[in-house]
Amino acid sequence: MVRIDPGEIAELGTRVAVHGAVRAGEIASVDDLFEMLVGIAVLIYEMAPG
Amino acid sequence: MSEAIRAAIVAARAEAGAAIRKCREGAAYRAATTAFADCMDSQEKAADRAERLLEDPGWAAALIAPLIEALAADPLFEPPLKAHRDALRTGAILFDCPVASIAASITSASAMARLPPPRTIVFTGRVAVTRTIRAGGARLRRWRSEAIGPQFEAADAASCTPMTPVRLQDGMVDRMDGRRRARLICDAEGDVVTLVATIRAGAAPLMREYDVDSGALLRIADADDRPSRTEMLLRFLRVAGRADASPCFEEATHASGFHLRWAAMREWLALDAAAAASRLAEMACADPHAEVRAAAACMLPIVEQRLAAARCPV
Repeated sequence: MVRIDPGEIAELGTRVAVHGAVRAGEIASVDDLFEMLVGIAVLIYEMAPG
Repeated sequence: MSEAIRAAIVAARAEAGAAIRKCREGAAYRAATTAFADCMDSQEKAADRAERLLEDPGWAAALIAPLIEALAADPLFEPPLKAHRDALRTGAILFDCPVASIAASITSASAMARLPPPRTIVFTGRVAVTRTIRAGGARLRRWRSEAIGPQFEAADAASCTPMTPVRLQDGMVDRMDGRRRARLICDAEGDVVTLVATIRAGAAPLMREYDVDSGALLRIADADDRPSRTEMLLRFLRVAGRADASPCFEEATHASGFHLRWAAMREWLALDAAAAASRLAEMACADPHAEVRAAAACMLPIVEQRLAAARCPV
């Protein structure tokens, strides 16, 4: 299988950060980021507990 | 913590249901639910309804009255509100539905005086309706910028422009389009108390952060959590070596967000370039965003050369 090293793959000039990385001044923004990361971690753990 | 307090907390939780039901079944909560019930696809309508709701000076007090009553009867009662606290503000989400959320917050005047003023401002991409319950003599600094379109590129982004500040007034209800406007509360003499309804319908996909002094665009982030989740999960699939997940990568290369389309293609190329090649060629010719077309066109000969080399190893 041919795999291209991510370091060799072009990136866009417009870089977009993950949701919650920019503080919106809304109550939920930082908490949302935390919940999202925890949610992803839980999912990964469930799929690949080892 | 003593056993007695531990037992009292457990008992308070067991008793909390009645107060929470009283709040959720109360007229104020039902008024909000009804107000937003038919606004799923209409930002204007949702903002109109939020304005009408917040123009009622007694709505929020009526909404939380059962919770305050329960708290007065038992200091260990925990109101079912998502709360947030930072150096400047303390807030809680009073109402949340798929169309809008309404948060109450108090901004500390002493913290505002003590902390350095913010160096950046954020265009949230969402429409918000604010009722200023207590103005605290504060001023509202405001900025404007162009809304971003589907062809947005950071390199061409215009800077934001300051507008004339306004003095906050007790009881003032105003609407702000976070796709084109940003604001900061400043110079408060007393604590500032607000109710803010944030409308989800019609939101811009990205939020933007600008430098206050120069007005220059500093950062861009997903305004919605879903593209970020997708991007992280695709990365996980790539790291886990799940070449059988090609349909997931393919689907994400058709996403509405240009950055997600390219992020998906990057992960796909890093996982299985042969499977990704034909979609990469399509994106080089026909992706709606110029930066994605350019990145795909840049990668196309590299990928073709690697695939040819793999087919005919020297």
